[in-house]
Amino acid sequence: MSSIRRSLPLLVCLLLGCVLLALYAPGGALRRDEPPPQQAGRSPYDLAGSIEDAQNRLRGHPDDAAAWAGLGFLYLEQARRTADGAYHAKARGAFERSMRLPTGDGEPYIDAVIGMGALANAGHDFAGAVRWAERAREAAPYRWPLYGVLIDAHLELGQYQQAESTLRHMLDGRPDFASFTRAARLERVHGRPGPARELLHRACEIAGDPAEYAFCQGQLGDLAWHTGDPRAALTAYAEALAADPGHVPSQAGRARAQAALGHVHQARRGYASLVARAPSFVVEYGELLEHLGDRAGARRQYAVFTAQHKLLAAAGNADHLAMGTYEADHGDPDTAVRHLRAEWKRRQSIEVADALGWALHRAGRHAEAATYAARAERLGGHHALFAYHRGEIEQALGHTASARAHLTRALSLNPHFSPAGAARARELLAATA
Amino acid sequence: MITPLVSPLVSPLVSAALAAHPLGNFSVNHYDGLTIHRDRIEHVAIVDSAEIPTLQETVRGSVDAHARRACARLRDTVEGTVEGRPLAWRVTETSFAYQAGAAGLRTSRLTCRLSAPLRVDRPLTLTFANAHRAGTVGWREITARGDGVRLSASSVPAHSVSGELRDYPADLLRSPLDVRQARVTVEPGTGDAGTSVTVPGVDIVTRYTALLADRLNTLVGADRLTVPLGMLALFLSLLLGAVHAAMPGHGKTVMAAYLAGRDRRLRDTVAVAATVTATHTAGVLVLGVLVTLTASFTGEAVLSWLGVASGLIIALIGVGLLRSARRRDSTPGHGHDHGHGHGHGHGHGHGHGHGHGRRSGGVVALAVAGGLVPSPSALVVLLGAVALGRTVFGVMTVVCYGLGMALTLLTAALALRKLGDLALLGRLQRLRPYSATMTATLVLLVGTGVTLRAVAALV
Amino acid sequence: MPAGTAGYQRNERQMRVTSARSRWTWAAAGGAAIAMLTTTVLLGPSMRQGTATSHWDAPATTRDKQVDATDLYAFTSPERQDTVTIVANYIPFQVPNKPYQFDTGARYEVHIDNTGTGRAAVTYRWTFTTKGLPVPSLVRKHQAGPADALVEQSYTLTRLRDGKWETLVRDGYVAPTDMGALATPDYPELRRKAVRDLPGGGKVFTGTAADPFYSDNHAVNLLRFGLPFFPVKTGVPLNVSSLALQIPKSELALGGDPAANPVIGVWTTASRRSSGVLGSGQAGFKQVSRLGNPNFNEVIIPLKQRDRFNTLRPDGDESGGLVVPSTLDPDQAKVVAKQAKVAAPPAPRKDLEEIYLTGLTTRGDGPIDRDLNSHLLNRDVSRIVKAEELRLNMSTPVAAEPDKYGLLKGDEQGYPNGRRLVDDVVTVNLRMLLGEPAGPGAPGLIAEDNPAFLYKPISGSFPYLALPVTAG
Repeated sequence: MSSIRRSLPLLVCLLLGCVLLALYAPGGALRRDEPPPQQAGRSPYDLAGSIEDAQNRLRGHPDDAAAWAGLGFLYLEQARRTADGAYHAKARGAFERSMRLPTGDGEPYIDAVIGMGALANAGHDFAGAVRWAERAREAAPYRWPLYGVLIDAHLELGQYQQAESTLRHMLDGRPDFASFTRAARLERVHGRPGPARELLHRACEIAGDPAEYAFCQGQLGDLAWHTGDPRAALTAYAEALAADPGHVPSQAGRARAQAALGHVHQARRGYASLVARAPSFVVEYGELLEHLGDRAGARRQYAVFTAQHKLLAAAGNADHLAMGTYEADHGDPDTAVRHLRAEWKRRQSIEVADALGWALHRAGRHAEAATYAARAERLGGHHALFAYHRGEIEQALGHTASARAHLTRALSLNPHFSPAGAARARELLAATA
Repeated sequence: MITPLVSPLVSPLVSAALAAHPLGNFSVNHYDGLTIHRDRIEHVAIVDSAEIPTLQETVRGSVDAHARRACARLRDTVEGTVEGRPLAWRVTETSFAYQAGAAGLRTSRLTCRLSAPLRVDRPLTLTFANAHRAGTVGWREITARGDGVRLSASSVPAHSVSGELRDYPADLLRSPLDVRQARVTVEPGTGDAGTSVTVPGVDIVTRYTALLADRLNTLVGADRLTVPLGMLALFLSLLLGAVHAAMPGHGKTVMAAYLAGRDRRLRDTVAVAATVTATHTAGVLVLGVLVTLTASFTGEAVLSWLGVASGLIIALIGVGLLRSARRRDSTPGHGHDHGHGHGHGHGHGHGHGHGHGRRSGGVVALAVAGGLVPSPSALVVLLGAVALGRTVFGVMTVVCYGLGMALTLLTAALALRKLGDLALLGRLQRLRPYSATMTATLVLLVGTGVTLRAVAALV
Repeated sequence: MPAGTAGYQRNERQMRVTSARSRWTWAAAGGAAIAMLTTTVLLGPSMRQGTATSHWDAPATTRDKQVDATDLYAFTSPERQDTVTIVANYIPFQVPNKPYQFDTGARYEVHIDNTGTGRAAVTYRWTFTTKGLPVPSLVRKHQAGPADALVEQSYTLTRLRDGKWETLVRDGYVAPTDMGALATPDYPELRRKAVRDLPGGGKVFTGTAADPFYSDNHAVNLLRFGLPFFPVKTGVPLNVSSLALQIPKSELALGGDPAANPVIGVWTTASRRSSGVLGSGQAGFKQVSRLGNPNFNEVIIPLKQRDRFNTLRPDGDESGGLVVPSTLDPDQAKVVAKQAKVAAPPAPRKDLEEIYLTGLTTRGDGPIDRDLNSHLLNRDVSRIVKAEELRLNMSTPVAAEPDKYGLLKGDEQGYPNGRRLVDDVVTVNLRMLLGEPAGPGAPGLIAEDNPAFLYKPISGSFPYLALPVTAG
């Protein structure tokens, strides 16, 4: 009896211990093969989430060159989406960090080199971008994204031949979103909207995420706009904004097309909300306001532009093309010529040629202007604004017939190319009829 | 395959110069500080505009009039609800000031104080959302704290990491905050709960612990480690250690039970605290060194072996206790029947009668067993600190962690003892003679369990 | 600790009802308790739980998913052992409840080499057409981009054999993802609808399924990044788009004789139609993805050459100057060995060449002395070339109890002899990279006891893949 009594507490304790262990042991309630609770998969479209993942990984593994490069690209994408240059500094930091880290073959991590090139493009240092991309090409000729950087830089530098041959190589090796969209751009600067549209449609079909889809729909919108079809443009922009409501170029395009279609109030509202978050479109907005007779409003927008470029210049980052274009139309044409000559030294793209020609014309140097205007159309000339500029210059030179031809071409390409410009072209045509 | 994204379009040039604002020269940055009192909620809204938006915003009339107008607009975009009913905000104070910015331009700072009546007489759920200039880029931060009331849950922190938009953290591994909504549960009382986010499927203890650990990691990894930041990190590790010890396993709680089951002196208690801290710190440090030096080192296996060792120690102590308890049982005059009359007092006397030195040894051994298995989160923090070249700080964190563990154990022991004393006054007194045996068995059992689990993990 | 007090109280209550007769009850309770204790100890998860992490690859950095071949499986169908099941998975990281489409401008192919020449003897090709929008606009409202749009697709399956193309399936039904009762009512029925019989006794399934890939994160990190990592083993709660075939062995074997010529090599490719520019240049199909052995491209091929490998064909591997030298001296072996503080076998790695490029046989010069899955084992093959393919010996009996470490644990039916859905290929590849099975290697690097598991269990019949993961 006493032995039973003595063992009773033992048994009770045993039972108690089992219960405790079963209940309280770490994860004791879990079955062996049950997955641990975890967050549902992150949406691959979630840029902020992806950035967070990369940051978390790097906190644990600060010497992961690949993760640093990946984070750099994510920051770059963030900069592009938010039009916020602060992310460029972060991207640069991430790429530089990645390049300092050792890799297996003793060379910097290749994606970081490509990233530096993309960053140089974003900072409008196109020659630098070419250097980075060439360096990447030497090390890894099959790393296709580097060709995207290279093609963009060549296109901006006005090196269309190199852009074309690089693009052919890229399309041959890796037909994808990056190569199709660039091919479309090349077709466009050569004045071939048909093939450009086809390429963009294909790109839209294989877009990897809403941002990419918004991008190519926005490009389709631009294409429709430049071929004088604001309605089709509006549809494409709406599609782009349905995928990515924050897509800035499409918001601008939509406002532009709405203005052309006479929906002035919508256009003004669109611009007003747009310039609050991406001031790159203030001049365009100001011009619309000016055209509508709101001079004070226009001046406010122009003041923002001036301030913005003051800030850029203070940071040693002056955008001569934008400043020259602005000065030619709304400021001092001589200053414009100075800016644009500086830019022309750096790059000889059709956009710079057109802007310089127009600035020279505004400054009264029509003969020199004509040579640049012709250069702007050296690839075939399917840009209404370029044609209009050329018409004005020819008119100033007294070549009425050729002026009429260019002006007519401008209006036939896109009757809405600019609110004031299109009106002025019609006036000129009527006056010389 | 990681393929870099290369944007196919050359965007308009934007300033890459880092001005005072983390998001560039056209950001509009918002801070909303909520303070909940027993009778009202106060809201400090600060809108820090960079150069471009400052320029875009036209100030008509006096600056004060502008501030009033701007705050009225802000009030209309702020939404607060309590238990689903909207709060009625009233602007109490406004101010607007320019500051010198980059390139000879100005930035501006708008401060609005809002207030809404509220009665915290029971737990309430508050939501808050600020949609002011929602389309602009910028830092967006919300904090919430209680004054005279307790926040039992909050989706936002209590303190601003940007010093209310005056000192934005610049860190490659930190994204600008973009918090636009807050959800707070408030109840009468004082004191604040930590931050929380909802992680589905995880029980509350784990969730909070994970959050704390995460926060601690972030703190240790911060680019600039200031004194308050360091103190916060140390405090957090203390807390984490406490929570870690509170979670069952590793035989730590057994020690508490053991301590409670007998009459213990302060010296023993202090010995336990010191031993747990020392053992745990040493364990983490040794493991940390091993893991750092040899990558092939499988930390998991070592942890399991340490688990085995710890389990065995506990089990051995259990056996020893059981033996002494049995011996006592067979001693005449200390049997079951005798227990009735003597009760509480007798138990005490008896406890002292047996060699005190040996049991002190047992306590220390138990404490060693409890601290022997390093906690993974302490290890992670240590490794993170070492990787950042903050070894000393990492060690300090681990020491705090151990202290936290010791604290919990001591608290649990004290509480158990109090409870035990109370219970023993009643009919439980007849159990008194068994308590030694029971404690011993429990210790043995848990020791065996810990050993077996560790072995199971190894095999 | 309140449990202690509860113990006292409970003890007291139980003591009062104690009598001599209850002795056996107590003994039984004690026995049960001991059994319970043991069970808890043995079945409970290990004492220390690692920190849960998300998938190691930040999904947003993976682009061009539509032509991204993620995994290839080839195994003897366990319940129809005269057939072989081949599964090629594309479009990784599919978030539950979101629809994804195949690229209509691409060809998805599965190739079978039964001669050991690196050339496909049989090729199955899928091409896709988008069929419009069959679902209520209510659901479509939130679409964002075509990769997301809930559109129905159909496919054409053709087979190239002996130089002749033959259409096997026209207007086939592609199973969409499970988007809930509103958009995809009675989902199991949709899955059944997507499984079709092929002429000649085979079956095909095309559509979304739960991604069967699982891995040991420790192995993944070591293998891919050469980084130590806190071990977490998980399946991935994401979906994938599968191209699955179940084909009679006689259709695949050389000479139609699987008994005499049991070895086949399998790989999958995706090719996309390119475009000319400025009115000139070709618009032909370019191969943009290639997958045979799992991890081969990201582990054996150096980073800078990986996109190039995607454009290559196996018959060019031997002379191409990339695949053979990379296999004989993989950089990653050194990185991993250094990180793991073990010694990798010195180059040239003839063992890896045998595993990945020729298959295991005693008739070659490879160091792994075992006849398993080289084309040389085919009666009618006398000479083979080195080519990276997933090689399967169709005559290996189906293992009664498959071991996820396959050959390394003596289960000859497992990877690298083909690949089953249950094989832990990342760990196997890691261990092979460190020298197994030719040498001692470092088998203990990845603890074998800790369970790695599929997120959703596979089923017992074709296509074996679990139904798509759904949110919530």
